[in-house]
Amino acid sequence: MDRGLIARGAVRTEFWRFALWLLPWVVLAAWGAAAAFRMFADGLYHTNMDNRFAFGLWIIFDLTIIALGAGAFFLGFLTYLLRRHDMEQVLYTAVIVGFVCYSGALVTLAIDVGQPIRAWFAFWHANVHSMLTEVTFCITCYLLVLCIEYVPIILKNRRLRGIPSFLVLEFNLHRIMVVFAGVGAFLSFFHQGSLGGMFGVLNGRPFAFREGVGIWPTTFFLFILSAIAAGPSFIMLIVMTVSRLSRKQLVDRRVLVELGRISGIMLSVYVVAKLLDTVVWIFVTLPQLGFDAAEFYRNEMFGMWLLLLELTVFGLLPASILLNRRRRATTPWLLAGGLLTCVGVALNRLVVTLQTQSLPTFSFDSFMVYWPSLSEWAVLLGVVAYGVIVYSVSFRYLSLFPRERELPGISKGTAS
Amino acid sequence: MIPSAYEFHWDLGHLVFLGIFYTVVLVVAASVALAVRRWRRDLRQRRAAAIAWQETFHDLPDDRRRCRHDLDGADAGRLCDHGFDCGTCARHRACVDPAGHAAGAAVGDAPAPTGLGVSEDRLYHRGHTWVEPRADGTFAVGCDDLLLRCLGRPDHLEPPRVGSRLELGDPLASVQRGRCRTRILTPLAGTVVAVGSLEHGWLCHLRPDGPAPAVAHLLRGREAAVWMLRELESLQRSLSADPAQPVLADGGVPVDDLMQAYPDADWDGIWGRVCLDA
Repeated sequence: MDRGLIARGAVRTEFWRFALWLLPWVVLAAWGAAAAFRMFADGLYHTNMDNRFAFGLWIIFDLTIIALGAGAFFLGFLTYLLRRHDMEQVLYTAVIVGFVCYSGALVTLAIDVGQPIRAWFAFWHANVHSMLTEVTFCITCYLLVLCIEYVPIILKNRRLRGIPSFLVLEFNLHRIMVVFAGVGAFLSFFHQGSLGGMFGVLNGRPFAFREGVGIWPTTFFLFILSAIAAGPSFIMLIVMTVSRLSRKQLVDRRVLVELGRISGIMLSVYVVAKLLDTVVWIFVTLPQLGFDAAEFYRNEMFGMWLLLLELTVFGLLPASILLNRRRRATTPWLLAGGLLTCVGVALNRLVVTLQTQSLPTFSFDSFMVYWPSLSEWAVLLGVVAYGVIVYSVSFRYLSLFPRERELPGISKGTAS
Repeated sequence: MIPSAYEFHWDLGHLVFLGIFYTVVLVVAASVALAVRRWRRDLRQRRAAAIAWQETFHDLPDDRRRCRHDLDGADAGRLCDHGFDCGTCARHRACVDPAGHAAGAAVGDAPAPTGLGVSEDRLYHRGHTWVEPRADGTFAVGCDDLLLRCLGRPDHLEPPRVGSRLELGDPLASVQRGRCRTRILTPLAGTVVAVGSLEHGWLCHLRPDGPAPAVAHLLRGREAAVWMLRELESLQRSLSADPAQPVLADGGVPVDDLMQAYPDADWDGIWGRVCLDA
């Protein structure tokens, strides 16, 4: 039915199977859309956010997917600016994952902020004192860059390529990609940092407050490092998952291993920086402010165990796996290293957002717990479903993996 | 953000931020404008076929980018990085004799026969078409034996129109059989003066633009025979589910209709690869 749209030589499942795969995701996306409509119509009272928890599930999700989407800018930087041509094999996937993550984050943010017809206020009536202004500007600009990067990938579709004007447009857009790779790296670097900096400058919340360099608290740099560590791992996980589902080797094995190695190096740098930051925070920053670190870890939900878990199981452990040549050469270890890295970043964003708000800021306050409502989950799952749909359709109809046709298929039961 | 925003000050911090932000916006806008300008220029200059070929060539795997001097043995292992445009290739100029013929180009030196005809009167295009000069100054264009065996008996062949002007790499004809469809590329620039068919053994007669048409990119003699053998081996690999099954080296020639003989093969992909139609 849709054979004419699928790239020559690319083996794809029958259309009915593909439609069946999409069906649950479409249902999930529809549920999310319905929940989003309720938010726009009735306001945020369908959520469990309140004056204490102004940042909830959606912000944690936004921070996580923006970090995981960092693979797009980092791999673009490696491919176009550092001339790492081996990364071309996963570049299109990185661009689409970046597009999905950033557009998903913006949609979630639009629902969270509400009043989408006044979205332009963020630009016209910008709050010049807020780090979020810089984040808003950079994310919007970077999404625009990702859209421009996505266009030539779409135009490479077999049917569209047959139209001369589309072919020539694709060719000419491709020629200027190096500019967008540079701009993307610049924009991403700053908004990843500013998302972390936003917490670091909260001097009324000593759990999050950090000192740093100039106007940038240390969280600015930690967010950049963790995003650069998680981005390649997330791309690696996606390629391995798609490879497994499609029973096809999509990229050279060494490219996946290299993504793991890069992730491991960046994660090691991040873990060391995070350890130093924690030590300085405990022994220098907090005493100066008149606090003891133990005060922040008295609650069972956010106890010291969580900090240790973040640093060891989701920090040192994946770093040691991914840095070890023999371990990362085997699929289960590579998968485990990438998965732990990505979960670690999600956990970090959860702790930074939620623990900061849960802890009391006044002597008469108490520790409070937030748990998202069903509507909040619906929106989140809807955005996840949107991402799966966009990537699935792209994988089926666009040539995302240049080496796919040359590489052998995977027999049942073997790993990618 | 604009200077009219509440509490905006003309201080260094705000100016640096605004400066960087607007520079980024300008760079993005200027780059897109440049791409659109080039796009319009390329369309005006009818460069679509050349661009399509450039992209197709870029995506070719190494085993399909062998330089002709790898085929004739003068420069073993060399890959083409010139889009098979030997006319402007310095390496090719260094390898050919003063008469313009590549070393060992006589068909008598050809490798083991493949069962596929390679005529010394014909020049071969990498998209599996041939051209043959005719006495009236035109060139006959046809599909080579390997392509004919891949196509078998197509349901539909759309030949070029008489009088149409074709550039090198333009679609010359399109072929369809079942769900498979491919375009056959023009091996030589010129104007179509007569149209044939697969049954006639030739697709069209082309009248080139000048008295000395550019044919340096076309293979001939021994190099064409070696190339044909490698193409056949490549095709065989595509068709073989079991690498241990009998091969041509064990004896035999390809059947006339490979598509009928191997109905389960990915013929859409094979046609595209053989005809260099991405």
